[in-house]
Amino acid sequence: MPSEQQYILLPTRGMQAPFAAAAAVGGKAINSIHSFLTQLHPAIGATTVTPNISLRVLDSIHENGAKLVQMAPEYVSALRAAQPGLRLVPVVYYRPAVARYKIESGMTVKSVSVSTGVKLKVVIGKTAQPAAGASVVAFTDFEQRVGAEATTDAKGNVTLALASGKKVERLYIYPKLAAWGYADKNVSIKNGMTIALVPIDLQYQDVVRYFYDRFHDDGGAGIKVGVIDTGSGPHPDLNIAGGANTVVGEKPADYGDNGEGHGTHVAGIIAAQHRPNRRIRGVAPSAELRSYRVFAKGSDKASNYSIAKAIDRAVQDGCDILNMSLGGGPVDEATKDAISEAYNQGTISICAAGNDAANPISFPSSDSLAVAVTAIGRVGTFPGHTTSAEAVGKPKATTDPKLFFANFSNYGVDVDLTGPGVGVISTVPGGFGVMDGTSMACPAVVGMAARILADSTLLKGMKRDQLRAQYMVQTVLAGAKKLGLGATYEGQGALL
Amino acid sequence: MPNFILKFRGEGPKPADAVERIRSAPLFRILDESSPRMLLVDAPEENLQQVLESLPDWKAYPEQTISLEDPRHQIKAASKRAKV
Repeated sequence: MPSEQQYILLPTRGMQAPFAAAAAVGGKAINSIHSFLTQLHPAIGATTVTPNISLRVLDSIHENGAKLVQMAPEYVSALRAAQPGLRLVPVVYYRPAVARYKIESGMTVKSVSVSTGVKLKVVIGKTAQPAAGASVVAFTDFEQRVGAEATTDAKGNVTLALASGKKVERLYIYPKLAAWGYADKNVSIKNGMTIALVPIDLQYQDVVRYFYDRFHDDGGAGIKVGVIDTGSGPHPDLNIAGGANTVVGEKPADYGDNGEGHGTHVAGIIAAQHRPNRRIRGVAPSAELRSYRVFAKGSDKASNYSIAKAIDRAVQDGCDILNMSLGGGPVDEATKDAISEAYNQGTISICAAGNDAANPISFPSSDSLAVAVTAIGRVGTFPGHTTSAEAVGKPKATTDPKLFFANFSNYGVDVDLTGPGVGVISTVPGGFGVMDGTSMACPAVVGMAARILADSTLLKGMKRDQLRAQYMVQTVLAGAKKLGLGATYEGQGALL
Repeated sequence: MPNFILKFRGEGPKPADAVERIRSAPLFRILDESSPRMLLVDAPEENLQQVLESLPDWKAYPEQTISLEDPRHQIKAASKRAKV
């Protein structure tokens, strides 16, 4: 019997759920939060068992209000799936804030004189085309993250602040486009060395194509998806219907990519268009894409104001699903509030769980109204000696021995779904690039969610309110298939 | 001074008279008012509390930043070297 924990079950907003009758949509029962909490009220002290969940009600604040329950953590995902909109907050105990001196593990850096840095050349494939703008990261001590990094120039040349012949524990190269990322261990870096990256073949079956190649191009029609990111496009393979730049001080109409490429990559995974002689296309090519840029030019940080404004704008624009491949840091009430308001207006937020290989998952994916997505990969969908090949982690799926949990992905009891996020080829400014991350798994799930919801005739007639959002989350989660990774890694499973 | 997000929690768009009261408050500077229900302001926290006491439909949040979910490895400290 796994160890149980205490949780507070709360309505979507506030401490008491407003009256809402249980509804039946298309023969599927949607139990309102009000009904659910009211049903638990007389069960104080008793254990409530459904086919998927067993919980013990310990206390109740009001008949239709918050409940203190005890259950095993693996039931959290099932409860979230059964009752979307219900907030599940683990019971925490605060300690007095006593200031104590602690030993910090420091690092002594001794100066070693070297006459010059080591010069490398990075090229792509046999044609030796220079890999311009590639980030080269050399770790002399990987555990302590000590080393040198630099970016290649237009000719693919780079100088690292290391002595020639220096042994490098790990060497990573992250090209901007046209090639796979490079990873190697225990490399003796020598002056004048040339490193060739594996070029991207647009016929290659990467992990997204492995799962979703079989689908037709009409997937996602009628569903509006808002990508809240670094901006998306322009790109010949992307149709961006509109959007907004919500960064303060920048032009609102400048919602294209800020130069980082992340938002364009995310958008392509959702709905890149199918072109002749290319295998690369989005999971839901007929979904309507809208771009909301929240990262300023040259910045990898977004203000919660820009994010809240983007969520608000996307809801006004009629977006059904929001893709948020961003996160980290403490829970932010402004973003949390915006996600909650979006939900109450029938728009759902699907968020990346984070790439810190940590438990729990990062905010905003940890928000009880967000759908949190972890990343999986599959051996055979990326070449060797690439950054993708380095992401092979545990556990392995019981349904497919080649399927693995990505070693960078966060995990925990708040996970809702998993999706392909290792070695994903997609659109980037100026061409195509490969990226790894829960940032990539998230749009793959968003694309599938768009396909699933596009097939729902009931959704089109529904009023844009909390019940609609609840129906959308339930319908999407019901489409998941368990891979045998365990609930803390895959939640309800993958949309395959 | 930190920036704060002021969000109107009432019905409809933010009322113009409330926006003007916020604008005229001591040491307040509105940085952005393009959102229908929000403002981004630069203001001292103590003045902010005072202004919000007279505007019960408004809520303040400190401005924070959120990062991209980037799995790329990064250097935290330079290697032992000098005079390159």
